[in-house]
This record gives sequence, C-alpha cells and structure tokens, in this order.
Amino acid sequence: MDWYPLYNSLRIALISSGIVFFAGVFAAYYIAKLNPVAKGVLDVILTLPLVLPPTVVGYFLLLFLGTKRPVGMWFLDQLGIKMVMTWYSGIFAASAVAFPLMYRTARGAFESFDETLAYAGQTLGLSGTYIFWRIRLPACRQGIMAGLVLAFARALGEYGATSMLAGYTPGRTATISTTVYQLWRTDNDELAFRWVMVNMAISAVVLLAVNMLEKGNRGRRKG
Amino acid sequence: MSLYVDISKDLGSFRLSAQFEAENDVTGILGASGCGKSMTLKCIAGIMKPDRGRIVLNETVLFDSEKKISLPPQKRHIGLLFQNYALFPHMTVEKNLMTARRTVERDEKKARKAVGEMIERFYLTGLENHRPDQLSGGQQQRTALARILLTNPRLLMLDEPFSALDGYLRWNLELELMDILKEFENTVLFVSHSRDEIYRLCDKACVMDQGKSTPVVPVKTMFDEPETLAACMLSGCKNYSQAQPGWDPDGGEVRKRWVYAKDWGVRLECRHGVSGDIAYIGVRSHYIHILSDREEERPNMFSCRILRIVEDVFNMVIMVTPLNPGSDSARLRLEMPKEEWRTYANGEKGNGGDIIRVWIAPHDILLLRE
Amino acid sequence: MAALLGAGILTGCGGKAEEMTGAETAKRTELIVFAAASMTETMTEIAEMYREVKPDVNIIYTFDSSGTLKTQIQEGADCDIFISAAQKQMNQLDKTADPSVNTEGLDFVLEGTRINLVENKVVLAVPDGNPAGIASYEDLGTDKLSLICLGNDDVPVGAYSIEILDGLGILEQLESSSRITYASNVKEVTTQIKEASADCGIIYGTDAFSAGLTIVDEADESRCRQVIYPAAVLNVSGNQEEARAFLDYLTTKECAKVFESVGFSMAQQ
Repeated sequence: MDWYPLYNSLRIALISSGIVFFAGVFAAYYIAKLNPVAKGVLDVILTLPLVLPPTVVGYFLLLFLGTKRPVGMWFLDQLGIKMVMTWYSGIFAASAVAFPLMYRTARGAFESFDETLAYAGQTLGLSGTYIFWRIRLPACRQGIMAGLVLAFARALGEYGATSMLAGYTPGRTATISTTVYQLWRTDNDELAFRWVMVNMAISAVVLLAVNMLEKGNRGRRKG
Repeated sequence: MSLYVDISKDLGSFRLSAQFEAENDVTGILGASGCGKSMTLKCIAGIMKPDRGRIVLNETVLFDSEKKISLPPQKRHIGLLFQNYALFPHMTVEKNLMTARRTVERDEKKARKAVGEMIERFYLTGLENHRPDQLSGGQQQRTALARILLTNPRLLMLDEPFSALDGYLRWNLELELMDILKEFENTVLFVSHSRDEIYRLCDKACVMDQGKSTPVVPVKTMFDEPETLAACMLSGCKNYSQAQPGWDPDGGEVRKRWVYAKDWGVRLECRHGVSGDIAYIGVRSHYIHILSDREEERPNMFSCRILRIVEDVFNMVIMVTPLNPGSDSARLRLEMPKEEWRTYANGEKGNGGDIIRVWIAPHDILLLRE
Repeated sequence: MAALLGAGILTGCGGKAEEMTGAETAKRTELIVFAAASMTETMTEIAEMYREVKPDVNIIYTFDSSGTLKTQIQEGADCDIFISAAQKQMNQLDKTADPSVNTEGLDFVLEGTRINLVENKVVLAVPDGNPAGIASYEDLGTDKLSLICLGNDDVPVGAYSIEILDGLGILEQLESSSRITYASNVKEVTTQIKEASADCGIIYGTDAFSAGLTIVDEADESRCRQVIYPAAVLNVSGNQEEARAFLDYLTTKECAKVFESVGFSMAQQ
C-alpha cells in the first residue's frame, strides 16, 4: 500500500482546519454584530459551499484560481505559484467546503455568549483582544471545538472540489478520498475498502481525542 | 470627588434622560424594572453610548457629545457589579481576581499578594481554585466585588446586587455589603427596585421613572417627604388622590393650607400652605386612623364604608371607600396592628358594609407634584 | 425543439404513430429512430432538413444510451432504425455477428442495411494558445508535458487514452513521474483542459468541439480502436423502404456537414 494519500490527506486536513478555524471564528464574530439584513445576506453567501454540490464549488474555485483566471494568473506570473493541480490546491478546496461548518457552529456559540462577560471585562480594564481570546473563545469553547472537529472531518473526506481543483495525480495530488473513489470505480474494491477504514480510523481518533479533552476539562472543573 | 451625569438616549419605547450628581457617599437610584436605571449605569461605565450629554467623574470628562469625547470603558476606571456578577465561568476564583489585578499591577508577585489579601478580606479562603459554578450566590457576589475592588475603581456601581438571591441570604449579604461600602472611599452608585434596600444602604437617592430621573435628595427626605407621585409610589405609599390646592368645594373662604382631594370627595387641611403646582396628595396606609364613635369630631375627618377586611401576617388591612367619592373607583387602604383593630372592632362595627369614621393628621398628608 | 424532442421520447416508448395528429398525417409515413444520446443535436437538425426532402415522412426520435435502446428493441419496442454509439450493441442484435457477442442469438438487423455511419475520433486537445506547445501524441513523451488530464478507466475515452499512451510506450513513465491526473467524467476533463489546469487531455472529438477546445492531433487506427457509430434498418420495421431511404440520406454530403460540425468524422464504409 502506497501511503502517500494518507500523508497528503492529513496535511491538507490539518492546514485547512487551521485556516478555517481562524476564518470561521472571525467571520462568525464580526457577522454576529451586523444588522439583520447584512447578516442574512452574508449568511446565505457563506453557507453556500455547504449546500452546493462540492464539484460545483470546485468549479467556482477553478474560475478564480485557474491559471487563466485573474487570481490564478497573478500568482503564476508574480510568484510562480500554480494554484491548481498541486497538492496544496487541495487546501483551497477543503477550506472552502469545510468553512461553513466552522462558521455556522461558531456563530451559534457566539450568539449564546453572555455579553455581560465582555462588558465586565471592559470595565475591569481588559483589552478587546484579551477579552476575545481569553474570555469569549474559552466560554464558547464547546461550540467552537465541535465546529473544528466537523470541519476537520469534512476536510479529510473532501472529494468533489478537490477532484476539480487538485485532480487525481497518484503520488502528487492523490488524497484518501480521491484514491478511494478511483479505486472503487476501477473495481479495486478491496483496496478502496482498506482506505475507507484508514479514513474512519483517523476520524474516530480525532473525535475520541476531543471527547477526552472535553472530559478532562470538566473533570478539572469538578475537582 | 464627585460624579456628574447629564445624558439622554433614545431607547425606543421611551427616552432615557438622566440628570444627577453624586458625592463621595452612597447614592441610590430607585426605579421599577425597565425604567432605564441599568442603561444609565452602562452609559456611565462606557459600555453603552448616550445620544448626547456629558459625564464627568472627579474632573475627568468621560463623555461629552459636543466635544466628541467618549473614553473607552477600560480608561474610565469604573467598577460595575452586574446583576449576575459576570464572573468568567472558565476561570477559578483566583484567576478571576488575578486577571483583574493584572490590569493595574504589572508585577506578578505584587499582584498575587494583593489578590491573596483580598481573598482573605472577602472570606474566600479555601475557594481559590473553585470555578464560579461551584460557588454559592453570596460567594459569587463577594468574588465579583473583590474582583472589582482589585482594579482600584474611582467609582463603584452596583446594579441590583441582590436580585439573584433569596430572602435570608439577601439580608446577610446586605449586612456584608454595608461594611464593604463603608470602607470604600470613593463614590458609590446603588441601583435597585427595592425601596427598603435603598433606604438601608444609601445616604442619598433619586427616583427614576420612564427614563426620567428626579433630583438627588437625602434618603430620609425622599421617604418622609417625597415630592412627586412616582417617588411617592416607589416609597411604598398606597393611597393617592388627585388634588386641587387651596380650594373649597362649597365656595367658602379659600385657605392656603387647604387642599381638595378630588377622588375622595373631601377637603383636607395640611400643615403648610399648598403651592399651586401640587397635583396629587398621598397618605400612607398606617397614617389613616379610625375614629371610634365615642370620640369627638376632628378636622380632616370623613366617613367611609368598609369594603373588605384582610388579615395579613402582623397587620390588618381594611379596604374602604369614601361615602361621597369624586371617582367611582376611589379606594383607601388602612393598615394597623392586629391588636389595635381588635380593640376597635370589639363590640363596635367591624364588618363589611359598616360605616366608619377615619381621620388624617395634617402632617401626614404628602403633597405631590406630577 | 425541446417540445419535439419530448414528443419523440413519449411516443417512442411504445406509442403508436397513428395517435400523433389528425387526418392530414394519416397519409404521412412515421419513421421511428432510436439513436445514441450523443447524437441528439445532429439528428434533430437532420430531421428538420429531411422534412424538406420528403415532406410526407415524419421522423420520431428516441435518444438514450445505446444499451438502454438495445434492451428496448429486444423487448419489442416499435423501431425502424437503430443508431448505436458502439459496435457492441448493434452486434448484440445482429445474427451475422459472432455468437460470443450476440449471446442471446437475437435477430433484429435487416440484412444488407448495416453501415458504419460516423466515427468519433479520440483527439488530443489543448487549452487556448496551447501554452505547453504540444502538437502531437508523440510530444507526450517529451519534456514539454508537465501534466495531462485523462478520463478514468471506466470513462469510455479513458480506456482509449490508456491504449494510446501504452502504444507509445510512455504510460509507465508518465505515471511514475506523476504527470497524469485522472478525472472521473468527460466534463471534468474538458474543464481541466479549458482552464489550462493541465497542459492537454485526451477526449472525443465531439466533446472537444462542444467545449470549444483546440484539437492538435487525432488518433487513427494505428493508435487505438476506432469509435464507430453503426446504423441499420431493423427487420421488425413496417416501413423498410422509407427507412432505407432515410439511412441513405444520412450518408449524404448534407448530413456529413452536420455531423462534422459537432466533431464527428464520416466513417469509412
């Protein structure tokens, strides 16, 4: 078994989880403050990747990042970076598709946050940054962790947009998901199944780890 | 050292317009819930922004809409105790206190020392590593107060500090708070809907009704001589009538000390002259006395019919209606110790429908403006 | 055109031709044509042209995948002409074909009417401007190529692509240097070429045409099996003469123009 897809999937999922964490948390924080109309519009736009077929998301991304499209062309001409058909193209695809999960759960968490805690922080003289990172985020920890886990799992299992943006080049852009799909389509069911098990094992480990962290936290609270 | 507040803010259903000054003592703001008192505190703390006005604390301008000054809450050095105390739920008691202290004390060792002293002073020893949800209501309040005092506030504001607690605990905490407030050297603003709390804890107070504040007066004056209808109601007075000053319904001589209680249909004599802007009178339930048939007539005496008699824990409450009321819904509420009622009712009238004579001493009539 | 198509599908699935319209059409001949889905545009256009040649003949189409059409014919659907996208389905209905292909021993093809109608060439397509400068299948073995996009094994064109690269002896070399990206359908391949994500790709001539891609090379017989669309009159037809006439019309120059306009080539008879 060639382990390249595992390595590639893991780095894509980890990096895009990181990107999605910051992007989702900030989007959720700032959008929660907007007026209802702007909030509604942005909400729809930012949730779109969740409801669109991933292949279509991939296609839209291609319209931005393709080597003949403005953004993709700029990167290629100015920095010599090709945005599509490379291993890191998978990061863009996975981030776009996983973003709404992080954004929506984080927003739910922020909306149930007791704003008087932030007010109290302000009157005590704490800076906005401190309040955000050390009070608001920890108080919303559960929702945000849930969002992060969902986003990671989604990024790990991403197929459609990745296939459009990064393609399936064995040894270069292949991820677990694209490998499973190609193996299955070419009647190599047994190997496909093995990769499915690998994927499930990773997701299970991540979920378990998060649950244990959460329990540890609660345990300390009681103790 | 003083606080000057003159602000207004549109709150949708009504307009907040608070105007008062507070010295270096405990000033109360008495008002029903939703009257704008919490919003006033938030505006002073800088969490909310008034539409216009001016807030000055010890010669420092905190807010001035004309000069476009609005200091952030962090630079106002005002401590605000929230109704729910707003302790950071994921931090221990000690961490909550340290977080606050570190905003004024860079040196960690010194900060830790100050926190340690505060923990002792506020009877929090042994609870350092507890999280807020493991504390009782009283412990939470002490932690929150300690946290505020660790930032050396120039003004301390308490927003309904006892509303989250039940009866017995409340009393003990009130006693504790009295001591703490006595030690605090700067201005204190105390907001409550309970006239009892205001009476016991504050030196001076103002009343807030529908977003409007009355001038600050000593607490004793506020309760013994409330000046407006709203203040009088909040002070616990139960009997009111529309009033016409210096007027005799029989067209007789007009006397300066006379006032006509329109709703009750009676003319009453007051202790002082009644000025023209008096629109209402009020009389506390305890100050309407029953005159037994054996006793002679007195001024300010009139007849009433008993509507119902309600037995309270320590008192009897007698609801009556004047015989010639100016308004159909005119009701008077009399309250007296059970013993007194028994003496009167024993062998005399004391049932629903009976006619009794009541009287009010001139100095017990509260003259009220709109 | 959509309405025409819809009506064709509805009646094609077992409807009687007489039911179509009123008294006037009673004199007209109805020809029911089953054709591979990839021929929808061209055949619809040809039917309109044929109306001017023979106003008394009414062509009714059913477009679907060749396998589905073959099954419908086998189950007794009314059909005068069958045009398949591959020899396989036609062979399965032809008693003169090898029994290893015509396993069920079916006999539906009218003797002497089967022809090779059009060919869909397997082409090498490049993005606008051909940034990598690839001019032929031979170039795929050179350093000009950094990434080629192919259909997956089970996309028909994918199998042909592998055959071509294998024939050139460069398949393993390209695979081991990660210069092949596999897409799971033709649309994905054409998109990757159009967006210049890959330097080039191997697809059908018709797909290259509809995607507006530049074709730099075509695979001939020596490179891979040819993709032939056979056509035949069926022996169950009640209008065999009219059917033969329409089949003949399909091989005329007028029709060749229509077929070539979407990327088909006329097949060698």
